[in-house]
Amino acid sequence: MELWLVRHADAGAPLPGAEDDARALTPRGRRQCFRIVRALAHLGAGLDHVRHSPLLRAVQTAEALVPALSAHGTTAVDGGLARAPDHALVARLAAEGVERMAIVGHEPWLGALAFWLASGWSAEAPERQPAWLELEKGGVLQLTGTLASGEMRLRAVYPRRALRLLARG
Amino acid sequence: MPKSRLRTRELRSLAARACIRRDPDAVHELRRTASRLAARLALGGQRVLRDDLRWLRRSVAEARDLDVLLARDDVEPSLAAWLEREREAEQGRLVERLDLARSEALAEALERLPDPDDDAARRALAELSRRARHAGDDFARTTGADETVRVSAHRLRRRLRRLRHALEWSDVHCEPVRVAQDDLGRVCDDALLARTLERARSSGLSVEPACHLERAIEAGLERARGRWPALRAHLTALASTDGPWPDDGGR
Repeated sequence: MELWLVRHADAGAPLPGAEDDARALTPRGRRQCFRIVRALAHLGAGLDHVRHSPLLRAVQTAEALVPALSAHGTTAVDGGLARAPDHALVARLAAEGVERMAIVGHEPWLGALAFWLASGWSAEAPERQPAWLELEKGGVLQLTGTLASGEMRLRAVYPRRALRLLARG
Repeated sequence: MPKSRLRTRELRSLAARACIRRDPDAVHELRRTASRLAARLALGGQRVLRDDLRWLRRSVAEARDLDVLLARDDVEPSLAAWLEREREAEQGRLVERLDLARSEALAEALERLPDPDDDAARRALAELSRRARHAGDDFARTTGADETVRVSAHRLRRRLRRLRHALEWSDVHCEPVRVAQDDLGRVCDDALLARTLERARSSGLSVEPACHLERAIEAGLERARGRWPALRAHLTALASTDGPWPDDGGR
């Protein structure tokens, strides 16, 4: 399968006293989303499923990915994407049984999940992890293979700059 | 408190109540609240979270159907006992399906959504009205009461329900839509009982055939067709994105 890990787009900096979970995308973040969708279209990634965290910035990023969904594509919210990844999350993602899935989440958990799927080093014990992956906001990682610990291959990293170029076609 | 937050609180508590024990009111209100929140997403033109709300509604759909049948006073005792056993078994399946972690994540996501802006909501209401009108035109062209006609009536009922909840959310007069939805609801409930009778008979239960129900369904469908032109005119007025809303004092 193809798995696209998308870090939520720009939502500004957390403000003192404001609820961090309710931070909305900025206009810049919305432009980043637009480029992700254009880039995914350019890469021929018609998505079967979009899974996203319940935090507002991830919900809004997932909403922006809707044009990349295939005609019968579905979306689902998953609280497991707003915390460190665990076996239950990986099992739920695998149970979806689709060929092309995008996951919209947050750092450091998205990078930990990618590292886990590609290397087999469990993200449940981050102190023993020998290396880290970290996505910038509005960045995308592509993995291929079977959705299980150590069974996926890191195929490509698309930082915002690359997405901007791809979006131009 | 904003409406979204209030409804989301209800969603949380109703999902928990429906799981803890057999609670027909909680199941009914959970489906209704999920439907209202789906209408709110439609008003904001949002696609994400609709599948989750659909999942929530479907998780309790079978239990709700059985509760509706058990609440009727025209169900013979042997069928009532059979329905009772089915509902008891369904409670276990409902608890398995109704994953509380997913409904909690859904509630978290919903309560943070900003309210839809008025212009977008107005355009969405017009679109929902057009969709209901389209389903109604299809239904009005049917004759008789066979399965395809019932499917068409059910589709119209669903679209009217979505429109009604969106109108209620926007504080726009919705009485004609509500009345039509309730009328079709009674027909669909009779059709549900007729199907359930067949299922019970095929599982070996000795119950009377559903002749009186078939007559009631035919009459109900005919009545709904007769009332369609007036409802259509109302939907046409709602489908206009400019000018005052119909029958609401021009607010």
